[in-house]
Amino acid sequence: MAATDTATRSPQAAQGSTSESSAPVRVNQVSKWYGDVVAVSQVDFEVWPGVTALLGPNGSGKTTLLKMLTGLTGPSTGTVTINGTVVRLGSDVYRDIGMVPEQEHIYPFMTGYEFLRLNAVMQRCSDIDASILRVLDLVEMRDAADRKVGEYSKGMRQRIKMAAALVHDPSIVFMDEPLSGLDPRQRVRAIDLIRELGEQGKVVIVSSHLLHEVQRFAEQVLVIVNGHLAASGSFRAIRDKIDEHARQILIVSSSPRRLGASLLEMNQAISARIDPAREGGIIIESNDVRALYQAVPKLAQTLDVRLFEIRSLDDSLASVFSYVTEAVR
Amino acid sequence: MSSDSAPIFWLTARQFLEGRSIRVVAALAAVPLLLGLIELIASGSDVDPRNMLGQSFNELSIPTLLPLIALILGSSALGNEISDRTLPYLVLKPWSRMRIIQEKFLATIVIGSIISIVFGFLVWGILCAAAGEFDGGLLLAVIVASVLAIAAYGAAFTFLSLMITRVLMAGLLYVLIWESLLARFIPGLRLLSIRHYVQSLFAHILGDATVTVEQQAAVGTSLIVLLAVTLVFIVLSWLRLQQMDLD
Repeated sequence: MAATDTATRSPQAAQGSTSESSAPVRVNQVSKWYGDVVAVSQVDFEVWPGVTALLGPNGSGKTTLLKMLTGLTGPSTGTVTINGTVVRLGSDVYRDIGMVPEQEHIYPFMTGYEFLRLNAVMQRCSDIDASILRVLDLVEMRDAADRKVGEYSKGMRQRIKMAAALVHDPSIVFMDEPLSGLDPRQRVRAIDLIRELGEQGKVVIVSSHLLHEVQRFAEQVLVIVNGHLAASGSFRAIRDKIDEHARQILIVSSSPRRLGASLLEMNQAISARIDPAREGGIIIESNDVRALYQAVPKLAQTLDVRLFEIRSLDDSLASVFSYVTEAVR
Repeated sequence: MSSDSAPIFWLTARQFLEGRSIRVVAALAAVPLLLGLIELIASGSDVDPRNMLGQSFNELSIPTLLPLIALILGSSALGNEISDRTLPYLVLKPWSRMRIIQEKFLATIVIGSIISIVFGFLVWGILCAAAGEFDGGLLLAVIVASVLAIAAYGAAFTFLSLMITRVLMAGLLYVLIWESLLARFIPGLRLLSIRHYVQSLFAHILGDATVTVEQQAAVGTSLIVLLAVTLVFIVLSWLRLQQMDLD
């Protein structure tokens, strides 16, 4: 699948309406280069309320794109507008924007409360204390608010950054790898929070390089590869496209040859080859991974073969992207 | 001025006071005090505050110590935000970039001036107490020259920190080679140094022959040049912050 839509779907378009109003976030033919290196090339999309994931492998250009969306970096060509305003030209646009940056450093001498107060004051919140308490509760940090940020764990710093981005209740929220550093319980809470923000009608744009992470909160996906918009649309549509392509699965068992032969016979595999790097391993190429995952345990039981491991060899995002980005490679 | 009305000023002041570089600033500002104490021990009650403090301020503080203090503070005011990648917390706000520059710059002047003046006041007080006469003109000259020097140098080094990453090295070379060496001994270059106008103003306020400055600039000229240099570098810093790509 090459680039599909050039925009995530607007609410009006979804309802079949012909009169679309302006999208809150518009990226119009944006490119960015540093010397001879092209970081982002001719990217064009719109984002509407809800959670949209900016998905791409490390170095794909998604952080550069996020910086252009927030105005930290100016595009070499093209324009980025937030609520109709070119983002680099006005500071008032930041009343509507909250940003959770990827970098961890926060002023270490400040307490969590003081850091949030700095953000609330600069965002000119009308009731500063109430705003701070609201976001402290959102990220479950009220008990740690009086501790210095320098003493926080990575997960706590991540959560206080999220609180700071939300302290003025912005309508547009950008998050750069927001789940990084969170423990499993905190990840669940953060994912719930991201979904809640989307359900409240906010535009939430989350950058991530982890596909399995994105599918838990994003309705829309923008896939960035090599600085190009490789695909965009609903998560399900992109996932289905990925599933249409052959994928490689490693199966480690007590009898790999028998298992491989049977899978070929049953048309569950396109090809099978012994993995020389793994004793008992066989690499199966399949068009229908879900069916394969269901068939293998039953087959092993029938053949009286012991299974030790089944795992996809190309579930990494870089591999997944290769399926959706043939046209841009 | 509360922390809510000028949050970046207070943030920057805390960054200065809680960082390690403030100790270096204090050590530099304490050098005249140390020299004063040595002079006091050597001369006893025969000490001449105007001659001793006036000379050391003109020959050491203005060309070297005050620029170094301004370099440390001016370069870190925004430079540390860039290297620590905390600047997005300030620029992604409905807060003009000129306001950010102004508050950062104000913190540089206030902290740098307070530290310089406190140590200047101490050495002045000790020497004057030993001599038995309090020279108000000398104190005024020290205060005015300190504030204007830190303002002009601070603005220049703030701008430099937005242009290059090795600002301390570049600033050090500028202070030691240009301001302390070339501009002191090459007559034509003298007029292109901040130091010359601070020294001219210092000599004017002292109003006697204690300090003499070659090609001394008039009071008005010195004030205009120093304020213009400060203003130009503030505007350049603002323009640079508007245009630069941030991490």
